[in-house]
Amino acid sequence: MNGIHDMGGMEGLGKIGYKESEPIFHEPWEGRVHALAQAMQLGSRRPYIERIPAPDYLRMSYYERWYTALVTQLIESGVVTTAEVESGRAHPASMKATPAITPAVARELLFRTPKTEQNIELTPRFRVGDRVRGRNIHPTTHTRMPRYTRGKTGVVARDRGVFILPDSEQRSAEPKPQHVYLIHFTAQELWGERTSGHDSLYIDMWEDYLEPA
Amino acid sequence: MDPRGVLSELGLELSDDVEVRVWDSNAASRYLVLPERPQGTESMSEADLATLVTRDAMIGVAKVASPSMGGIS
Repeated sequence: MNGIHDMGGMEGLGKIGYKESEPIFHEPWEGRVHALAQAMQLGSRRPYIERIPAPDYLRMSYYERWYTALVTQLIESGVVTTAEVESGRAHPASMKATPAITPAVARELLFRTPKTEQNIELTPRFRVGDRVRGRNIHPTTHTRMPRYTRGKTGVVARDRGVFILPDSEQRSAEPKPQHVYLIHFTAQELWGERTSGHDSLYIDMWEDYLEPA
Repeated sequence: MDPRGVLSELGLELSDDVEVRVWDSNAASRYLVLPERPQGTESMSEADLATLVTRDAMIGVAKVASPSMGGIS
């Protein structure tokens, strides 16, 4: 969706807030949110983060957004109810994990990163060196195509292999595996003559995001 | 859209003859930067070179300081 999270090219967001040595978690609760999210293994969090209303999204810290998204994800997945979240108490008849997660299992879940590359042979539509253009698509749900690539022409630099199209993961339709390509755009193609003629941007784009240029 | 401005804000000034490449890691690939080896390190061991590398150099927003410029050794 054309949401606030899609910030590429935006200005006016203020200074970066560089910190020389920043802790991984600013507060213990941030670490607990990270661990909870990993333990639940509910799938991609990004679609839920992207649904946070823009003013709230901008106000929240990184882990506040994770927490907000996680609560929505848990409720919509039927793991907890809104009443349970608000009271902080499990309903006596609520779902329980059986067997209950042990610290050893939790530790294993914490470091598990699901492999996303698919072991499927598919004929790629594009080859290295092809000129391609970002399609004028406006998905209503989650997508990994940022607005700044729409209508822009670049060159295929590499074929990354086959991955599931993220746009298809949330819909009830079948997950769509397809080739992902590393696309090279010149800075001036994206941002105009204000930028250096020497500079470039590289981004991975799923096949559905592209058309021949 | 202004990577040179961002780098300048982070203390790194680059001349116009240097090419800047921005990598948007929006998919399954993640990146780290192999920092440019600084001058005056030709005789240093791998272990000593490793002490010069910083977090900022590995994400591409800083150069590794040469030891003669006061880098950590």
